[in-house]
Amino acid sequence: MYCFLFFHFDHKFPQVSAGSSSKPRMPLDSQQPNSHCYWLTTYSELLCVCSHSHLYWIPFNEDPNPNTHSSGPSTPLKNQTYSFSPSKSYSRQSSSSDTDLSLTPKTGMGSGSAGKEGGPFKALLRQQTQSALEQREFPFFTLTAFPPGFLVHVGGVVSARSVKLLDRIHNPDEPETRDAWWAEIRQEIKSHAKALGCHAVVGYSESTSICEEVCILSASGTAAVLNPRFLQDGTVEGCLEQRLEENLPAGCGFCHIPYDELNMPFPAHLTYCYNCRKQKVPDVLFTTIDLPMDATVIGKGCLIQARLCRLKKKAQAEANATAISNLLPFMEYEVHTQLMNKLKLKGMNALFGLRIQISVGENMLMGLASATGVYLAALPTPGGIQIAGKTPNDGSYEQHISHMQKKINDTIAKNKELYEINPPEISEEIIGSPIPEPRQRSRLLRSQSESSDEVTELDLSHGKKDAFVLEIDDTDAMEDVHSLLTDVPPPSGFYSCNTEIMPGINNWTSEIQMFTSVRVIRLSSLNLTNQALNKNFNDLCENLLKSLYFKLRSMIPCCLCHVNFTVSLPEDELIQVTVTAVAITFDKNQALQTTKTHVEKSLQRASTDNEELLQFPLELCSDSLPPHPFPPAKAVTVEKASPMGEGNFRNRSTPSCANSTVGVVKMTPLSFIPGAKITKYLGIINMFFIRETTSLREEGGVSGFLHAFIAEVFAMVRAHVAALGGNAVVSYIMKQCVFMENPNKNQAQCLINVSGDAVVFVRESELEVISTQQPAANCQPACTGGEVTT
Amino acid sequence: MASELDIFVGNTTLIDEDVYRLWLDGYSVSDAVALRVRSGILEQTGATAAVLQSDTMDHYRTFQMLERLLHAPPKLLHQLIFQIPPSRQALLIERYYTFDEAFVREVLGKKLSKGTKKDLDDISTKTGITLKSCRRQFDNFKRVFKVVEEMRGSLVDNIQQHFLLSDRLARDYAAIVFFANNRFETGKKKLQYLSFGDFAFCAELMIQNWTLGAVGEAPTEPDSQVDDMDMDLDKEFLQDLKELKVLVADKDLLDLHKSLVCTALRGKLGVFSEMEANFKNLSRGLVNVAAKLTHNKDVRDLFVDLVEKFLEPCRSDHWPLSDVRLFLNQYSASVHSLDGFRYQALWDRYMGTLRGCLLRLYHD
Repeated sequence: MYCFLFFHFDHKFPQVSAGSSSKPRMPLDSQQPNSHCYWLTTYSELLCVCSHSHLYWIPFNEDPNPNTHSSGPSTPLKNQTYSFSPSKSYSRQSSSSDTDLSLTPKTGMGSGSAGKEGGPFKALLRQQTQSALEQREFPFFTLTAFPPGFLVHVGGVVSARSVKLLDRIHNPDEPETRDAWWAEIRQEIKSHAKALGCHAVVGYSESTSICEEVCILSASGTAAVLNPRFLQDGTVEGCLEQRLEENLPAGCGFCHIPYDELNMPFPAHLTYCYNCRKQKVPDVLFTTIDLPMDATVIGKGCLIQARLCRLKKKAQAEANATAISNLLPFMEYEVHTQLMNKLKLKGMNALFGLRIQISVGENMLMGLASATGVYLAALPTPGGIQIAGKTPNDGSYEQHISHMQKKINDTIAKNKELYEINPPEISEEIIGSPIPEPRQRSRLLRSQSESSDEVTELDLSHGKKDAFVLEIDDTDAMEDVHSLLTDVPPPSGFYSCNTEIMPGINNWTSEIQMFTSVRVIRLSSLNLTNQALNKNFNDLCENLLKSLYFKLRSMIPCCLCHVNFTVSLPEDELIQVTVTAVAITFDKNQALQTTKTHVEKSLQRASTDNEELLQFPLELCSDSLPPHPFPPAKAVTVEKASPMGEGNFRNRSTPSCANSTVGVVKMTPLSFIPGAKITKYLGIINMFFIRETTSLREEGGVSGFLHAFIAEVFAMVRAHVAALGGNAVVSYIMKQCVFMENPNKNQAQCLINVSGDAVVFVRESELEVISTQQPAANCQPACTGGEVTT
Repeated sequence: MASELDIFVGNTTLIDEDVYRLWLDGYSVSDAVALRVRSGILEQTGATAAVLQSDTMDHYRTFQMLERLLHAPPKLLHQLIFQIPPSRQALLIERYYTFDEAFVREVLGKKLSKGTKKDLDDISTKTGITLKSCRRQFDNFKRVFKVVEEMRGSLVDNIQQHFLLSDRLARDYAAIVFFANNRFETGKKKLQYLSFGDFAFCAELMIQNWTLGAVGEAPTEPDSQVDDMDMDLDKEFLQDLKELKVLVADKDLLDLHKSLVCTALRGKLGVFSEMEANFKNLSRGLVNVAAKLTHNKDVRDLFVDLVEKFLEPCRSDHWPLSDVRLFLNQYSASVHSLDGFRYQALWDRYMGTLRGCLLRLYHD
């Protein structure tokens, strides 16, 4: 992805290399005049995770060898980099299309030696994994979904960011410099994962944001401990059996902390797992992966977004890079705080599919984080949010505070009801007392740099639960609290998430609608303050979501899945937001199905990859015992029929296309099609389109131009798939949508890059018909090329 | 915060029926938004006016892109740009070609030319239908006319095949094309009480009985056929109608005809005396209408003449519809008993259709 973008820039050798992150403590208040003053008593995993290495200032221009980065004289700046990246990985395509891991030396799928049974399981497991993974330079997986048992523990999100100058690359045509940059970032990710006691990174992705000659490189993933047996040569089924024998706690294992609780890499609240009561779990969990299919979730999930803008002075080259570097940690922190607040407000305790995108423009930086919040049964119930005013003795102010407090409490209660979060009450004795010294551990945030004495004076423990106190002492903070409350929940019957499927919903119908929505707003340059910017950006995203809910109201009850926001700053005062997602209708009457069927369904989705599904027979597979080219996806073979009743299926099926000559091609960003079985993979679709117009007004202005263009892009993808004999595109993604206009010249240009997998699918209802009546004729009009395997 | 660009594109094209109707009715985006707000949609869905505005714009843009395809409906079925379920495609086409009763009454029988198009302003003001909608309807009439004008075969079938309309709508278009081709006058004040349905009914009867296609005289050589089968009246037939004049010109024949009808209807008709008194006038009227049809101008005035010569006298004497039916049946049938009259088949072809038309047109 980034390679593609690089073509358009003139690189020279970089001068500023801010390839690192920072110390755990951020001197925030002293540095940032308009920073808010929050007291957050829960630890912030994100922040801590990101803060283990130092930043180096390296005078590059005289040094032609990029490999000397780390040996340069180091002047620790503060908090230059870190965090997560936007581009999400897709199980099938990402390894071939996205990341550049294969370019780095010594990367391979070599497997380590097998470990033995016995001894303290956890330690051994770690050892085994270690040996299996350490042979690889970067034990990173871009996959986001795994077979049950593969993820042993999940540590949390690890990320790294780096600000680079593109015009300083000596020979832009050669990849060495860029490779070195990424290698540096990956190394950092790896070290973050290590600090969390993990040996691998899953749900890993990399991305870039470029403005003029400045480029922000971002990488993020989820630190994890993996089951070593999956990485060995043996069959997956064997591993599973063993796993079951070992009697690992199901549904909560991955939540247990991988690190040593006495020697934690950062302060955190730990409690005994609410599920198995044996192991320790953190109080919140952030990850970039999809919800593991065996995870026990209470209620439903929801899309949680943090949005942020920061103004930046226009500057050139190094000054610009420095300014960006200085802003990044504060933004990162802000975004994280927002996510935490919103998560608490929803009454939930874990985020999946977290994707933080930082975009750089001429005069501002934008941060947009999207994730799916859920309530994990294994994690403790989140405490509420408490507001504390800093200026007491003012009656009306106090009243205002208490009013807001009430509103927040009401919202939390309402959300719990909305998302059906009713965790079973557990008495304190069973859980045992919390790990000692929670208060000492949990201090971290904003006011860290202020006198820590002040902190201890406040009793931040609210009952036995962790209190989450927002202190509002300036208008900024006030606004933040307000913005918490302005996020309107989706209308009833609507759910949204940015993961593949919504936790808690499992009776999907076949009615799907994939869509792309693009909005560009022009900011009036007069009132450009951070607050105004934030409000504009917040409104933009909220209105966009509201529009989607309104437009798709005929599909209720439905869920927007895989909601993928992309922000870019094409010009000084323009903000562009692109959203791609799929709306899937579900059957309300069966909404109360057990999680078990859900798991089965998910298993089925991620399974049964026979060789016939592959586009080409792999030569490697000709041996009697074929090595699986794609172990995680091969996990389990579940031959069960879908839990979805066929009856309600037929009722819901889309109108037939009997009298139309054009075959219907479905498109979805998900890796599966609800109520259908993919019988053949026809290969990856990766298409670039560039469209230019010199008669913008005549084509209905920018909206008309882009509307027609995107409609045509869809049509071309569909036609391409139909020509291959397919009838659907799965794992569809719009990787690029770069739009530029010049209204004065009546011109506009647009570049779009989309990709996905062409497949042949058969409706499950039809599948039954086929299996009963032996002639395996093609039922789908379009799947002429595909063999229907039953 | 000005929205520069705002679009939504679905893999399956979203069609909102309500917005489609507003678009077809020719409302501007802002008017449409106002109307939607008034419909109470905001309260139902909890949306804001801005959301509604953006949604309406999106739909309007989609419709504008679709309009080009709607001009030739088979194209809509075969195009690849918009993935639309067949049922929705049918709805789009049907609604696009649906017209307003008030509008069609204004242009029915008029030449579908640029001149008429210029009058659309006045029609718009008069009917309260937006000019945009008037234009669309007018252009639809014209487009259908142009396509089927030169075609052979059944008018309704041709329209159905090329515009994929429902049977009902195709019949209506056949009537419109037929009227436009023959330029029947329908706009006179006397004719104002008649609905489009009345005329369409007559048009169908006339197409079935009075055109070349009706007699089944399919041309043996395709090129030799000059007239359109269904659209033009059978000229030969119109010429022959002059022969019917004998029914009123020959006094004996007229008296005989009258006595036959009166004998048969005595006691059965509530308005017998009026009928008896008026018989000669009525018969003269009906036969003269037939005899005049050789001239194009008189063909155009067919409906005016029917109203003046037959329907108005009956109405002024307060004939009930049942009496009109009895009279017309007897009037047509009695001719068969006239020994001196040789044009029985011609008479049946004329009166059969005319009787149906008159009965349909006889109302307040």
